[in-house]
Amino acid sequence: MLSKPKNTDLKYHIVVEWPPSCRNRNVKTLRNRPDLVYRLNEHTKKCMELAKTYSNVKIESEYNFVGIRMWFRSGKDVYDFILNQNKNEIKVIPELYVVNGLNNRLDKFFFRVEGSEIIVY
Amino acid sequence: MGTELALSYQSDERIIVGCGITSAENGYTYTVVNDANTLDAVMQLPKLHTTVVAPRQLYAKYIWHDRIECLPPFDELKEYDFDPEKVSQQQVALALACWIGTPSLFLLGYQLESIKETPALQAFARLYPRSKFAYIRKPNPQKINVFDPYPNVIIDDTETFKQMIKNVVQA
Repeated sequence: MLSKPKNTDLKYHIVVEWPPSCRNRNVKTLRNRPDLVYRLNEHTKKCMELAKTYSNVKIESEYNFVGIRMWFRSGKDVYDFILNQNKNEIKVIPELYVVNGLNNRLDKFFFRVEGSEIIVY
Repeated sequence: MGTELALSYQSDERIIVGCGITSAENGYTYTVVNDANTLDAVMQLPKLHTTVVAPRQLYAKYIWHDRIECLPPFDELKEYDFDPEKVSQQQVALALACWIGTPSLFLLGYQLESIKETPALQAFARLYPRSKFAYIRKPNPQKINVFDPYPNVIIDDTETFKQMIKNVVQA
């Protein structure tokens, strides 16, 4: 179950999907497929580089079958990150978790990108 | 004014839950907004010194902004069909104050009205029997009897309330 990183003011959580060939691969498969591991690493490096553009971003180090889990502190940053996903040749899963400051729980939302706008619902 | 309430007012954990644009301008702890036009107006204020709290659908529009939070789901109100987008703003503010769990609530400017608002306050008093509700109104010799069956609701006037604050400050 998704939980908020401790002792941080990170608020927004998104997942950047792995490249198609790497998705839903279990650890056993990955042990026998160094080519996929290479692609996963390259993709992670790319996300880490992109994250440097923003003020406070955390990339979860734990392996996830679906993609790279990222936490953002600023709404403006995550908005910009999502909006520029095509330009950066990444795909963000259209689900957004937001830490609710009232109860510290994660509220789940969905979004779609329409032109230069992100519609959240 | 009951001693318990006076003691509660001395607490450092005083939280002010208001609603609408005036609450936002006054910098109350939380400002509840449950309609789109007011939310747009509040979010366009040059400086926000309050945390705006809005129902999920309205919150989604301003999800990227700093000083706004989503209303909690109010699980204890589910069986009452409590829809934060359909009830009055003051009811949502009251629901939030009860949800926060403060033992004493001072209701200032809460508008009583026989069809919805008074029954709502009575329902909250029933639902939260351990919370004390102090309904503060302008001095008025006419007695309000509708809360007589509710031992956790007291009616007081602004003068007594101001005096209590003075006493607390002096103490």
